[in-house]
Amino acid sequence: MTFDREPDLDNANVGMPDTRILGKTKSMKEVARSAASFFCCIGGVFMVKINGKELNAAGTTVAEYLAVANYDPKRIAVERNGDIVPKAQYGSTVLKDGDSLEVVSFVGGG
Amino acid sequence: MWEVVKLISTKKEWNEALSKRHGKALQERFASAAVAICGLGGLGSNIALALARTGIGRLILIDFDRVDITNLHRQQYKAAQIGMNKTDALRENLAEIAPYIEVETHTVRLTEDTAAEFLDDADIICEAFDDAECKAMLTNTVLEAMPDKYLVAASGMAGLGSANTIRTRRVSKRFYICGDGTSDVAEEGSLVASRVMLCAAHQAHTVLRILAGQFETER
Repeated sequence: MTFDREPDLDNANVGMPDTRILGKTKSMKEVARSAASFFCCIGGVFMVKINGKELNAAGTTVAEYLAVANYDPKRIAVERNGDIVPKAQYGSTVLKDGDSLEVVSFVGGG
Repeated sequence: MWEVVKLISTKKEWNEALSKRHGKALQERFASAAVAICGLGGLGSNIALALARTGIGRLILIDFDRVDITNLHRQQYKAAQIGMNKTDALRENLAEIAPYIEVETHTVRLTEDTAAEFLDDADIICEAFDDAECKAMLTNTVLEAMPDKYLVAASGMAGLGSANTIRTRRVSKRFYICGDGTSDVAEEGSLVASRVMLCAAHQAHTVLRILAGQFETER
């Protein structure tokens, strides 16, 4: 697996040339890179689509992926193949080849 | 005020006016729908106004909070309503705009344990909280425990970013999310009426499209 498959988090901040945001983008890239290198090391060629990007994460649990990708578990909802993954099942839900995972991360304001 | 409105137009006249605008079949769908709005701040108060004007038959309004002077820059309340429960203030405002819709209010703080009892009658639920953890809590609760309902949530509408970055995304069959997904009020430092209204309008419009059977392509 190569870095061109890592989550393309840069696009999330297009058009917001605020230095605070640029700082955030950098740290988000670092997070993505550490997640990508983690999933390179576990071997195998089985791919899981996570937020639209293919990652070599089959065999890991949802909880493991969320921890490595640095998500705050209190601010997210996770869907696997179109169905919600109950929070109580993050630790026991193992990602399989061909799975599609969607992690929705909420920010404040309303 | 409510009495005056009743004198100048009957419920029948009101329904005819809405049917003339929306078409009879579509208006019947709107009139028979129950929509819950969780959180009556910048998002919820604006969603409620749009849905009430459209003639949604029943609105279930939920918020524990009172109107504060710091709310008035973006929320649909009036200076004279400062200190009132948001549920009561919004009911009053909706009655002046759409006197014949049914408005049910609950002045409570929703939790994962109590959500189901207040949301049971809703066909569609709008998540309109401001706190990120509350947003996630309601989303998980609805998707886990109420799989037959539609959820229209919101994330990312703070600051002065472009209006064009606010969008509607269908995450899965019954789960939609509106907003830019990234602009956090904790980082942007502010919420302005126009951008919050854009996001609220996306949510209200998504409700109407779901009721009309016009669904977004997923993702």
